[in-house]
Amino acid sequence: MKNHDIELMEHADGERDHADRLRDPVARQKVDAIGELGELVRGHLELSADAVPAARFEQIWDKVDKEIATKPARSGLWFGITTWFERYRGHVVTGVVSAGAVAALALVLRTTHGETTAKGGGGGNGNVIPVSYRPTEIESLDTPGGDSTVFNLQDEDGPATVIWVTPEDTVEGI
Amino acid sequence: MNKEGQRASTGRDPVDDHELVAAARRGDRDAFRTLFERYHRRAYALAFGVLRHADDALDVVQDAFIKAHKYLDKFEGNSSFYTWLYRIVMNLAIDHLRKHRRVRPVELDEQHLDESDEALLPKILGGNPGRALMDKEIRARIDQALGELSDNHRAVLIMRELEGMSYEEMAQAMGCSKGTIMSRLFHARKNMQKQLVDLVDRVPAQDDDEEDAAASGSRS
Repeated sequence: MKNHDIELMEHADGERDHADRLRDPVARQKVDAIGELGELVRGHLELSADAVPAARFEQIWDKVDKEIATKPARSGLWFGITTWFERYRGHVVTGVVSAGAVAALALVLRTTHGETTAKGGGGGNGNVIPVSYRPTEIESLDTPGGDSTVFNLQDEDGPATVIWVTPEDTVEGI
Repeated sequence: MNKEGQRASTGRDPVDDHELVAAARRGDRDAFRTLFERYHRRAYALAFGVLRHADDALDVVQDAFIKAHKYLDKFEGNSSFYTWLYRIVMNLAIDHLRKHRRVRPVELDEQHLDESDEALLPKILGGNPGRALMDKEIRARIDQALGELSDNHRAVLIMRELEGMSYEEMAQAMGCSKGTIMSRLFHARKNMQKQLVDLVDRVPAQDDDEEDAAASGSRS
């Protein structure tokens, strides 16, 4: 063969043109045999399908019809939202969990800075002076199976670091 | 088999599939019934080829049409309705095999094609498949030979021979490489030939048919 036979198979299936191989009569017979086998398989299955009485398929249709009468085709905005959620449920859950973990991390980081205020003035007058924060410096972040983004946010409580992890997309069929 | 789907695709049918799908989306059950009428036997042939069990195949056809109706909005019309439907049928048939633990382990030889592989045979049933299919014993042997294949080998063979899918389409449908598809198809064909080769002399060759026809013509 054997590679030659694979080429003959590709030729028989219309995947690639290996007509030059067909000068060999045995090769031609092999290509014919592939076609013949295909006709046998196809013919056998089609005859099997034809042998099923129409009444049997009528019963199947009755069941299908009954089902679709009670559950019409889904459409509209809500269907679109739920379909999107069904398709990306895993990603949404992962994103929410990641966001929660990051939020918790941010809180911990802020707490471990110790005091958020310090008594200043040295004169014992008890003035409270806010301590300035520095955003967490992240030099590298390894997130296998996804992309990560680091945000340094500033609000009335001071700066916060948020790490957002987005899992890689996968395509899901029906 | 009555290939209603092919008739639809040639444009001779008064209503094409996309119009029927649009009507079915709007709640027209008669439109969906027409789609069922066009494709139920082809869907059955596909399911039966994979499952090799009539009642299971009918169950799959039923579930496939219910699922197709439920998700009609997902049908974007980039491919034909039947192309979309047969993917649903194939997925359900494979799921059915898995649920009933009838999936056989993958053969060791499945992933590779190499020089140690035996060659394809240059003939099987004498070049007259039409006549061969009239012989009940030959059909039983074809059925048995299909049953001897692994589920993956059989699925690829059926996708190719029944639906005419390309290697690339089959690779996408089965979630594997094109090389794996070629390997599965090659081994499936080789094993089918091996199972059927002893029937070669049972079926008269094409030439005999022609001789018969010539003889009957001369008699008349």
